[in-house]
Amino acid sequence: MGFALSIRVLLRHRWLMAVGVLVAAAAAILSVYRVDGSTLKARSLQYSSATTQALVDSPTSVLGDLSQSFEPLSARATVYANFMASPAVLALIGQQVGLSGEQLYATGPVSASQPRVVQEPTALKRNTEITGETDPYRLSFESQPNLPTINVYAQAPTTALAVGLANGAVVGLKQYITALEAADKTPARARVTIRQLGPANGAVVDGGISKELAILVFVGVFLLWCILLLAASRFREVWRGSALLQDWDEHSSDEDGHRGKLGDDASEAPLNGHGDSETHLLGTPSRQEDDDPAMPVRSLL
Amino acid sequence: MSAAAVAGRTRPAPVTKPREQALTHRAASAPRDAFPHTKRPLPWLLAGFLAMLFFIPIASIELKFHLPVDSRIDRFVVIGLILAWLWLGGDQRAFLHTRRSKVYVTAALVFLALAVASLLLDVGRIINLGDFQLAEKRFALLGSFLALSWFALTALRFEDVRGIATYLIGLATLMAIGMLIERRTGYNVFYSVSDAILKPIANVAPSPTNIHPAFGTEGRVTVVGPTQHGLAATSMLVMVMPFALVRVLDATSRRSWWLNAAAFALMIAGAMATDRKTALLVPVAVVLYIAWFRPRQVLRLAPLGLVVLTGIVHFASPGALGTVFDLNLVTNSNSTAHRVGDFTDVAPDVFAHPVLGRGFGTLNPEQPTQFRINDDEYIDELSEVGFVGLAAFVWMILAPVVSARRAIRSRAPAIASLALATSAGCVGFFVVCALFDALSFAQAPYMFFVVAALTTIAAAGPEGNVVPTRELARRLAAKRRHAVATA
Repeated sequence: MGFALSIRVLLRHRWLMAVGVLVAAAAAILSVYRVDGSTLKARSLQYSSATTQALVDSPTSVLGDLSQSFEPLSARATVYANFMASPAVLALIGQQVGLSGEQLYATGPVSASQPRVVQEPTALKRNTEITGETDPYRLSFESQPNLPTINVYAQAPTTALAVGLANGAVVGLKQYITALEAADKTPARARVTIRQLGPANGAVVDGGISKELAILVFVGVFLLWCILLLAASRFREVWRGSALLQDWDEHSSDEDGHRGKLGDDASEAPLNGHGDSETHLLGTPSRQEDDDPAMPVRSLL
Repeated sequence: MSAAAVAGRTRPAPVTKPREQALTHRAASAPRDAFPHTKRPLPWLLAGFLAMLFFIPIASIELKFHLPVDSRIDRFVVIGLILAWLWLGGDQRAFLHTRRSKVYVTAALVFLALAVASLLLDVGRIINLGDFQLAEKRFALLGSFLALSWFALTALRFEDVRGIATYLIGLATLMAIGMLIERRTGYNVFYSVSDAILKPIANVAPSPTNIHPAFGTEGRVTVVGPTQHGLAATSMLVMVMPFALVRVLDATSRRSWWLNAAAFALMIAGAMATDRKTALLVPVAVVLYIAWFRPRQVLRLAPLGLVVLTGIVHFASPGALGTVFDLNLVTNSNSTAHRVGDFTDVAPDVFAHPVLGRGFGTLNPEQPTQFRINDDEYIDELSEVGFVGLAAFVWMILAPVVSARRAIRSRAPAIASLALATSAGCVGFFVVCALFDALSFAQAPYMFFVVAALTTIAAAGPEGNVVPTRELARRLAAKRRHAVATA
């Protein structure tokens, strides 16, 4: 019933509630749109991710050749996965999707076998990570120990870009390695071959996030508004009660010298609501209520 | 209810002021409708939740049906509590329109508002990093904590607090006994029994218990009780310890003294069974806090108490004292070394978002390459909600303590003892937060939010009680019918 009483209190302030709805709606709109001049433009809250895999291989593929070992290629895969996060390779990856290398944020692999304390970032590393937190184009490269593969994870505002970025990562690595081999005139049989294990596939990760966020903001702001309204309403009642209390105190002082001092149980009654049906709103302690048959129903409100 | 029962079996103090006389009289002459002698359902529901907290490993149980945010059993129970509150006439009027201090609730709401602001004002970056869903889950958990606190505030009357305190002492003592058995035998009764009972509806993960120090972390055993981590179990016990300790100080009968002293000793032993330094540091802080208000009583008890406690702990959990007092382990352990680096390594995040932090609930412990486990809730809050949010968080913990000061110093023994005991529980949580990331283990904050509510109720005394609106309306309607009939 207390809940119902609160709603009654709120309904007494219909206009303020209407203003609250407008404020909450404005906050909700601004959470998913930004003001650009005189128009509203949607914020890019939705993002997509894509993934693909690259195999670090030899010209005659190890996949079908039992005489070759995976081990040297596995070690290379780990090196390449780290190397792919370097500016040189990122510039090549960016070219594939029409971005510059600086627009991409990339992280290399971390061995999961290391203890957590070693994996945790130092202040210096964290500084670097923080600078890339707002970059919408993100790449992450992982390699498994003992496997000659590199997992590529891409994130971008659209699925097409995310897929392009994941594919571009493999192409970029391929281009870099090929250029290096050509420059060094590496014999054809000794060259490393990068094979993409199927095209990248991706999808939207947080579809509907804008709606979800707008609803959350609307509900949050509106609830906060209601709480403030209830608190303000309660404060106004207490304020009025305190004025009556003061009048009563002065009146009693006139009548009987020191009897009306504040702080005694009796003089605290009006603030609590007993004794004065006009000021009594919601705070009557149980014992007094039991003894007060004339208490008006409106005092509940 | 007899005067002694309501007054917490306290030593009769000289009551001089008329107001305090009135308070004591009101407390003493209260009706017998007080927990556990009550038919009001809400206190019993709270008692059920507390029993779940102390005996069921809520963090290791996954229900076989799912909620949109989480499938932990406590979330379902909290939803049940809220529904029961609405259905059974739980009444915010019982809190909002009484003498109960509003400081704690205001502080909690301010913290909640800042947490929401920290998330929404930087939502683009948080979504880009994929942390939004995690934050939603953390908000659901924070909402559970606050809902439980609100439930306790509006469901309990002052007369219930003593009964709930006794009940908590009982629960904590049983939990401590279970942990001592776990330490000695490796058998975690909480996990095993929960698994047997809840099998049809939930999956219970195996207990991480390991009583061989060589296989534990840094030569320490892994004793967890009904939690996932020894620190969480220790926190639960240290927040209830002062309830028993204050009763020892106030005991008027030998039976009461011995029972509460035994409960206190068992809780200490249970906490020490985890081999955690927290089990030593927090009780010391709690005893110092109580000594601040009751110096003579604490000093009189201290020499004998220390000797007896040492003996009991040594007997109950052999090796625990040696591990906790091992200076080499205390100063050179990986745990200590990691804590030393806490602030420096989190500084970049703090300085990048100094005011409102990087967003509440966005520290993802499953991404070790990005985030540290900081072993300190205050550093976590600083990182997540900034300096402003940290101040609000600290104030939220200390607000009940501050609002209880006057009650503790009052000469109404029933109120003073309860206010002292419950506020000491809050002090315990305040220290706990400096020693590990307390909000990461749900049991510790659940306990704090209940104890904070108890503090607020105790501090207001019986004057804080109010007849729930539904009951009041019923009475008024009856009176009106009677008046009409008479006319």
